[in-house]
Amino acid sequence: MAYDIPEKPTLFDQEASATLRLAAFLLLGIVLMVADHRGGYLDRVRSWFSVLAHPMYVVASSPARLSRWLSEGFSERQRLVDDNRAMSQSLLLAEARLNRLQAVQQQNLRLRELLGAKRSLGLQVRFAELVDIDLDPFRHRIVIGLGSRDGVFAGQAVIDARGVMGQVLTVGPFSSHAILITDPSHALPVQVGRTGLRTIAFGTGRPDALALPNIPVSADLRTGDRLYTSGLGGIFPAGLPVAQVVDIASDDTGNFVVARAVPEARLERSGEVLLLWDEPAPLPQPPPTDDMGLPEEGE
Amino acid sequence: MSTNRHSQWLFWSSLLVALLLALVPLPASLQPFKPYMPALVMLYWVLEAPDGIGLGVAFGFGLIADLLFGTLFGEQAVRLAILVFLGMRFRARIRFFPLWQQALAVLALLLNDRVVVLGIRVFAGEGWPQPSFWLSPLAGMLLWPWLFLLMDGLGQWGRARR
Repeated sequence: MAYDIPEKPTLFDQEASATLRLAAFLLLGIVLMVADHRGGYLDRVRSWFSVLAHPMYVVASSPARLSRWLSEGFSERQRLVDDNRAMSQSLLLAEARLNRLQAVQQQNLRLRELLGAKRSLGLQVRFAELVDIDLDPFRHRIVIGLGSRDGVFAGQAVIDARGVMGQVLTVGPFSSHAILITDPSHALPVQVGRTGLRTIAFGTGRPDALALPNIPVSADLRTGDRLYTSGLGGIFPAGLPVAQVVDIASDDTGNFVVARAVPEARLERSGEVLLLWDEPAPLPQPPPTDDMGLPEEGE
Repeated sequence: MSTNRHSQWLFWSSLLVALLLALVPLPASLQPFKPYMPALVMLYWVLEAPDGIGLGVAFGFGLIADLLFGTLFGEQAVRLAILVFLGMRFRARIRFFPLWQQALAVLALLLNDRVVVLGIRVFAGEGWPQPSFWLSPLAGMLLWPWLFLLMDGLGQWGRARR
């Protein structure tokens, strides 16, 4: 009655151990993801690794750069001349407009001096090239070719000639990742230019839409209204164009309206962006109160 | 010995090329169709040379990809581990399918991968993606036979050259 118990692992054993190993790796992956999402403990790792990632970015973006270089090299002379003419015309227009604005700015400065306002309107910007790689078409992230070596810091505002694009998320020595305002996890304090109404513009995950939920019905919001940064978040200076309202509908309860706005900035991959070095005037911090609870007995 | 070294070399360089191809931008209209190259290359190696590749390799490679793409640390690691696990489980069957049937199996695996991504992103609060999110597995299926033949050819070339 003595059976030999086979020592060799059966197929079933192998499968069971593979499943166990998978479960262990899934657990590890989930722990890492939660640590990254909640704690942000891994920013240091990311920053170091981006030194190694940079050559990969350079190689991966080379086809796009090559094609741009070729199209520049072989484009027709006539087209270049036309482009040049159109650009100098638009520059002329812009300069004329600037000249007029300068007078207004002088006036504004004098008025501000009279009021004793200290905040300057100056903006310090720096050109930065987008690294032409594709992180994921369904995530609204871009890579900028400037890093901590150039003084870029997390939370820095990224704009283009038309409006706000997003803000820097993680910084490496040579390149940095930025999140666009259309990312679903991004929210931006804005102000309606016409009425001064303050609200928050949320990203929707679609490249052409921002959502403005929870606006009171009584607020006078119309399609075509322009939205500007309100400067309340402390990251973007006030007065940068953000989006234009295109669609207004009442929400499910009927007590609020929900608006959809199209971003002004061109949120495509390629091209150049501006990084802002303007320090937005910090809001005066209220002194911390020790105890927010109920007053204690006997006080 | 030399074959072994060649296939090792082919293995690591194919993974590197897969990462680079995943980073290269496509024209905006073609972007949703971009196949998830690291997954395809991993699947090829699971089917052809399962000894060299395990869940650990897939997981580690996924972590590197996560750092490179700026995704949540662990997202692609989990995706690739699940993919390699399923590939190993069904390897005996998929391996002897004709190429077009293999491509269908790859489509199923990639769709499953998309579901995993969706789960992770919704949990992380990134919201529901657009419908074109589901197009990438189709492109992966169409690419599979060509990738398979190319990798096979490269492997044989290395062996013949010895």
